[in-house]
Amino acid sequence: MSVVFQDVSYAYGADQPPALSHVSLTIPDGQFLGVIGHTGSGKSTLVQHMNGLLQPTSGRVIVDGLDLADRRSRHEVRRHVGVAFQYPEYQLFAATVREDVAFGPTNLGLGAAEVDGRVRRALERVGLAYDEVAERSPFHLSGGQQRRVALAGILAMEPRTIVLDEPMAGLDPRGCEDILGLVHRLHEDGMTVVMVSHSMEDVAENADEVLVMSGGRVLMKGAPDEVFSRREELYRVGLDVPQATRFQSRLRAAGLSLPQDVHTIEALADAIVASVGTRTKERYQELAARAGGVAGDRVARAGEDAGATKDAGATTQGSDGR
Amino acid sequence: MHMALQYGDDAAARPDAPTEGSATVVRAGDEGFAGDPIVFDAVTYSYDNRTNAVEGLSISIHPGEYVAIVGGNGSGKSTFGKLVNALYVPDAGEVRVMGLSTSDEANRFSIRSRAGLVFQNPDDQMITSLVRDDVAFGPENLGLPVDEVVGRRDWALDQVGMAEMGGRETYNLSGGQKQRVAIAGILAMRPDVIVLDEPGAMLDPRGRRGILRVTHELNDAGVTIVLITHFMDEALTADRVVVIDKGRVAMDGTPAEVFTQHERLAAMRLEEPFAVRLTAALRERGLYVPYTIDEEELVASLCL
Repeated sequence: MSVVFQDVSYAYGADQPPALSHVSLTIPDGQFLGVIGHTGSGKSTLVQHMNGLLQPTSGRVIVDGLDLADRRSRHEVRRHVGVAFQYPEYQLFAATVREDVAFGPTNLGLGAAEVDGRVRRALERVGLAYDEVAERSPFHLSGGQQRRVALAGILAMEPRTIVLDEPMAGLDPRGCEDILGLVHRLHEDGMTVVMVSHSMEDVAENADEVLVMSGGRVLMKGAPDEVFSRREELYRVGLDVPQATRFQSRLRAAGLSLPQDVHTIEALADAIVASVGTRTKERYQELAARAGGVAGDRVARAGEDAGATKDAGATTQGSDGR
Repeated sequence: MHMALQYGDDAAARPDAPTEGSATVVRAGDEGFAGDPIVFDAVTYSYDNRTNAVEGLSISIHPGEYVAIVGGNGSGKSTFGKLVNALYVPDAGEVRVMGLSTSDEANRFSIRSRAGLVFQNPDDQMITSLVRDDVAFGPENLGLPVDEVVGRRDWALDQVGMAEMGGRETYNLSGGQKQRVAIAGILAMRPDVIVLDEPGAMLDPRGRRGILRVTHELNDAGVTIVLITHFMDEALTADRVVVIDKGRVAMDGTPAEVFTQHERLAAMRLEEPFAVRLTAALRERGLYVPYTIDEEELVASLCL
């Protein structure tokens, strides 16, 4: 589904500064849009306009040709645009996982068989086994599982667009990976995905386009390569670039030739190997020994992998990031 | 979640689901305790009497250390924090906080009267509406004289960089500011050890960096810090990293010792530092470089 913002402004109250100012953008059908911006930049306000939860103070939001200013359009669009707010598991309420996930489709007035089919499909999609979790209380599941149940409740509505506000917040790396994998699959299945994230890495690796919000306005919108190349502007609004981008600059400063700007670890590794070539361990040790000097010696010692840990312990000072 | 009320909870009443995110503070005993402030001696604890959340866990936290406790959800790392606070009591083994066993009912008041809690969610921990009242809450409850309470309050707010914010309403603060107020509330209890359970999990990167900086400043001032976290960039700044997996200590060493073990970390599906991830990707492509957590060193290796 396409989502179009036409000169949208929004203020939470008449005496409040605008949370969104003259936002115009188009999200084409099937796109994965990553939204970044520091706290207070307007990104959460923006996504709440996408299913008509908030309505513009001025301007228009048009989803698949339907203007959300119209109440019937909003009603229609809500069936097709699923919005997962931050910490969606806080909204779990039912006694069992099955009832919780079934709540939305039941309210659509669907028959019991259809609802049951949707609950099964939704739970399967989020990677939970129906037979294991359906009759359990959602509150007895782990945090990561609760989040997946909450997302299953949205997917059971079988939306064509899903909007996720910080879907990985508060999860451990494993939970993040699970959710990110799920979002990735939904996109591959053809859904339009809008994901707000603090992680430049997650956005760089997954999004087709990146939207950068600052002070309620669109600062940039473009392909990850394009956006993350404008590092100074991102820094100025309190945002970072992906670690791979930063590390690439350090390598360039150290004299390595890396002509292409990269933003993911995989792309950086490719670029480095293209520049440096491959090396065996023996070859590395030869080079390190020849480099000599303090740096070479340090590198050579660290090169002895088996005993590396003790020596490396003495070299951590430089990485102390306080 | 009304975790602020857990102060008075009966430790024997076990919640069905473990809640993550709390910080526990241990204040030095008047007896001038000089040993390891936190000692876990073969501790086993189960929520349901079937599977053990921690199993035979032994750790000693030494005075003045900055220790990061790392592990995935369900690893037992959050249970660790609640065992320190005597919110949970071991099924087997013993937890000693400033030399006092949490298993001895007679010690619990003493341990808890020295303990404050800070949570993952800063909204769960604001008690009063004014910042300065919130920070004074702990010392007031210790029954300290007013001068002392005010002195501690102002000192604590200053420590977390919130000296100018005492008159602000807590609900008007950002998540990072609230978290700093919560830490100030704990500091006002004059702890020797602060255990923070994922204090940055709900904050944006800027808020997280602020909290991390405060913990390091406190550590520089002599406070022992135990930071339970799943953010590897935070763990990298610790003196010592303890990885907990399946309720046991899986790894224990300096950040360099722990985080250069790519295979073991990957097997536990723990996030790895950037330099280690890049090194793994380079090795996969036939470019050998030694594992390191030090980005400077990786640059040097590649520019040979």
